[in-house]
Amino acid sequence: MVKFTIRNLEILFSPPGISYPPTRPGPRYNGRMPTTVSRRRAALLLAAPLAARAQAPAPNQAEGDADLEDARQQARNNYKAIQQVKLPMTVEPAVTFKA
Amino acid sequence: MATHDVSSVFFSSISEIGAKLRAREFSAVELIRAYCDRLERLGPRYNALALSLREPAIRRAKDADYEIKLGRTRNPLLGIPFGAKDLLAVNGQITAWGARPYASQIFNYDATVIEKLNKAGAILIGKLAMVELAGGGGYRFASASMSGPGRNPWDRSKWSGGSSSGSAAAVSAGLVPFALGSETSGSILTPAAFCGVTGLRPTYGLVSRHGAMALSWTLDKIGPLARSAEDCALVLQAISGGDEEDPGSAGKAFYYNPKYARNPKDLVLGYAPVDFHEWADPAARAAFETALNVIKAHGYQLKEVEIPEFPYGALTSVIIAAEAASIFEDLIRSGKVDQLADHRQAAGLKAGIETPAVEYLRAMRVRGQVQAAFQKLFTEVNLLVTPARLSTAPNITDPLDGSGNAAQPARPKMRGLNGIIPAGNLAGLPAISVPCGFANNLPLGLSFIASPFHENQLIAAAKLFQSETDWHKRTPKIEDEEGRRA
Repeated sequence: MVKFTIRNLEILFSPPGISYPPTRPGPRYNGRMPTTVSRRRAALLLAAPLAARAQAPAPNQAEGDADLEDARQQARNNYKAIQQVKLPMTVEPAVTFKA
Repeated sequence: MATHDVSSVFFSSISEIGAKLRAREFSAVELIRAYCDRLERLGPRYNALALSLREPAIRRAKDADYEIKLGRTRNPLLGIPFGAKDLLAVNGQITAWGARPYASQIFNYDATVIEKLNKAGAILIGKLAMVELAGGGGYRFASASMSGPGRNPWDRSKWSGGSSSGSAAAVSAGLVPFALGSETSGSILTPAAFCGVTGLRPTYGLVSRHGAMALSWTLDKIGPLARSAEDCALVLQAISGGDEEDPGSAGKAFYYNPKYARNPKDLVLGYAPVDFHEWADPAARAAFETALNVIKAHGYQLKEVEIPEFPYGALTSVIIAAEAASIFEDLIRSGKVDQLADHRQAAGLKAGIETPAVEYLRAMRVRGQVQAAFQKLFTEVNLLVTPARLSTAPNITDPLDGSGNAAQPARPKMRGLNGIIPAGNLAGLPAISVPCGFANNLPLGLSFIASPFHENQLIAAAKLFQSETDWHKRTPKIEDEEGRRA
């Protein structure tokens, strides 16, 4: 297996479901020194800080409520737009149940 | 074995790379190593790479070399590297769907399309980044992804489009010869147009979605992004076909048949001049006009048409909102939905769960009428042509919901084919976007749309256009972190 050295970013950014120290055979993990990891694990570790960076600051309650209210209003506008289309009673939904 | 220089093929077509592999100008292992190096080195520049799969890819390349050595080279995809949007399951590998709540998700099977490409001898070298959950909740910013905003290889300050952001960027930057993307409403055609690559959205049901993240059972499609229409055809041929694991499967396959392409003179091409002259962004009109003139010169019988009148955007929004809310009900009710990067998207999913059944059913009833209207339209024309997107890629910081626009330009009086992306998706129509020029140094795409299961007609039209233009052969200037040309 190809192995290489990376900084131990896992202290700061542990992806969900990944436990440390690593259980695979290898140099003893001491929490500070560089360690050897597989490329797959490295990809996980490198993805985690990217993920963290991609997270915008959590919205405060008021912003979250405003977003939700916007989304609800948009949905109501959509319903109204669709209600303008005349539908004879015989028109069935475009999904079919097969027995 | 001597090491051969593979760098000359990074922007080559599948056929060209395949011919060099068969001529043993380089081995599949050399090819895969070179592409993996490039994908790992440059993929992060465009936030295009979700997960490198170097080790399994090299193992498969050794198998491909063995096949080539034995002369078993009939499949055109043998030894060809590719990338897959991170919504496709790959056995034992992380499939995060671009979303933090699923960052450690692993499936123990391959999606059907991955399995089919494996059988064809193609070699998966990486999972490609995407908009989180394919954007089902309606996102406000390009940063709505665990990998960060998709950056466009033509200009990194511009968006690569979504939701198949990494797939389009990777093909555009020559990091993979082709990639798989998915479309619910615009997620193949939009990034293909913005990144200057060819993207094909197949007919609903032609390609199995087993092993793909579901966003909307009645709208989801999987299709290729590649360097040309012909490359898309080769990939579609490999991934299409019936699948009992996908309830939406049409049980049909696609066979690429260029020899039997109909003469353009026997085909009626529908278009709307207003799309090119008024709906298109003023900066893009000249390029679109030139492209339309190339098509007109092919001898098609031209017919001016207009899209049937329906509230397409509202219909797709309601259908996606209801189906996505059902699919992600656990995520929404558990509160983990708040871990998504885009707050508007989280709010959209939450609002979706409140969709009244009667509103969803009304949308699905109107959808039947949309389908009937397009069936009627396609009795009058064989193909439609229109700008894939009306303008070039926006800045990665621009709000995508239009909330940042100070003033909206006046709407043209005629509808033309405006709204064809949601309309085509509602009706399950196949479409292809081909590069057709530039505006502000960014690529533009032109799309052809056909009636269901007429992909050969679509590809023939796109191929003919590409035989007389070289927009699909233009490549962006790719530089690494140190500013070296790559």
